[in-house]
Amino acid sequence: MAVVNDSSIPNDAILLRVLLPGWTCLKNSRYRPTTHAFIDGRTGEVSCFIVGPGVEAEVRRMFPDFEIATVPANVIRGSGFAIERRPGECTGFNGDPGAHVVIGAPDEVTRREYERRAKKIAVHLETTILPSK
Amino acid sequence: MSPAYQSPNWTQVQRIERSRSNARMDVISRPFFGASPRLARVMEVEEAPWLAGALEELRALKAAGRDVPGLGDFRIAEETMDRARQLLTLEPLRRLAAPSVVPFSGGGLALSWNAKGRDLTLSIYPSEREITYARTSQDDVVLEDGVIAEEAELGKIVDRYLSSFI
Repeated sequence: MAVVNDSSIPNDAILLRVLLPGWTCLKNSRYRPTTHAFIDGRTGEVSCFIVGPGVEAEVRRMFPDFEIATVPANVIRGSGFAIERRPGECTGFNGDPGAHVVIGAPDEVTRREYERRAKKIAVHLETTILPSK
Repeated sequence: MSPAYQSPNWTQVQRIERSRSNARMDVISRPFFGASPRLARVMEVEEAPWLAGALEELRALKAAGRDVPGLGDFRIAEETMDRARQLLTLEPLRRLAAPSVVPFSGGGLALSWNAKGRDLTLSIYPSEREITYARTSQDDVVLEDGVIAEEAELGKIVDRYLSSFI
C-alpha cells in the first residue's frame, strides 16, 4: 500500500523509530540501525513518532528496554520513502496522537527497490541511535 | 532423525528418502523457489552444528510473535516458518556459519551472516514465495541484491560471499 506524503511535516522534523534487539549493527565503527528496522513485509508501512514535547519520554515509557533510532524527515524523503500521519493507530501511546506516523514507499516498487530505499535510511550518516537513558 | 524432520508443522515435506551412500536426505517438497515440486538436497543437523539452534530460535520467535502498536506486527505465519525451516536446511547454507535470525515487521524473517564486516542477508517475506538477498562489503556498500529465483542461484551467492574472504 502506498504511503501518502504529508507535506505539513517539515523536512527538519526528527522521527523516532523503536528498534528491536537485532535491528542494530556496527559497520565502519558506526553503530546504526539495520535495513530491517525500516521494512514491513506485509503493509510496507513502518511506525515512527515525530519528536515533539514529551514524545520521546512517552515512547521510552512504552518501550523501556528498546533502543531508539532518530531519522530526519529529509533523510526519509530523500531515500524515496514518504511520511504519513496516522493518529489513533498506536494503541497505548499517550502523547500527541498526531506524532504517530508511518513511513514507506509512496509508489509501487519491487521488493529490491523497497529494500534499497530502506537501506539508504539505515546507512545515512544523519540516522543515529539515541543513547540509553 | 534430525530435529528439522520432527516438526509437525513442516507440511511441505511429502517424502523423505535417506541416501545410503552419503547419509544426506533427498526431499521431494513443494516448490521453494520454483513453480513445481522438485527434488531438493538438504542437509542434516550433523552437517551444520548451528542448525538445531537456528531452528530453536525460529520456534522461539514464532512463540513470542505479537502485534506491537508503534513497533510492528511480529506474528509469523506457519507458511513463513515452513519456508524459513526449509531454507535453513538447503545445502548451500551448510558452508556458512550460524546465521542470526531476526524478525521484521509484517511477519517477515531475516537470516544474516556477518564476518569481517561483510554481510549476507536473506529476507523471507510472508505470503510470497520470494526470498530477497543482499550482500554488502566492509564499507557498507551493497555489492549485489535481488530476488533468489532458484536454489542454484543461492549456491552461487554463497560462493561469492565466501570467495570475498579469500
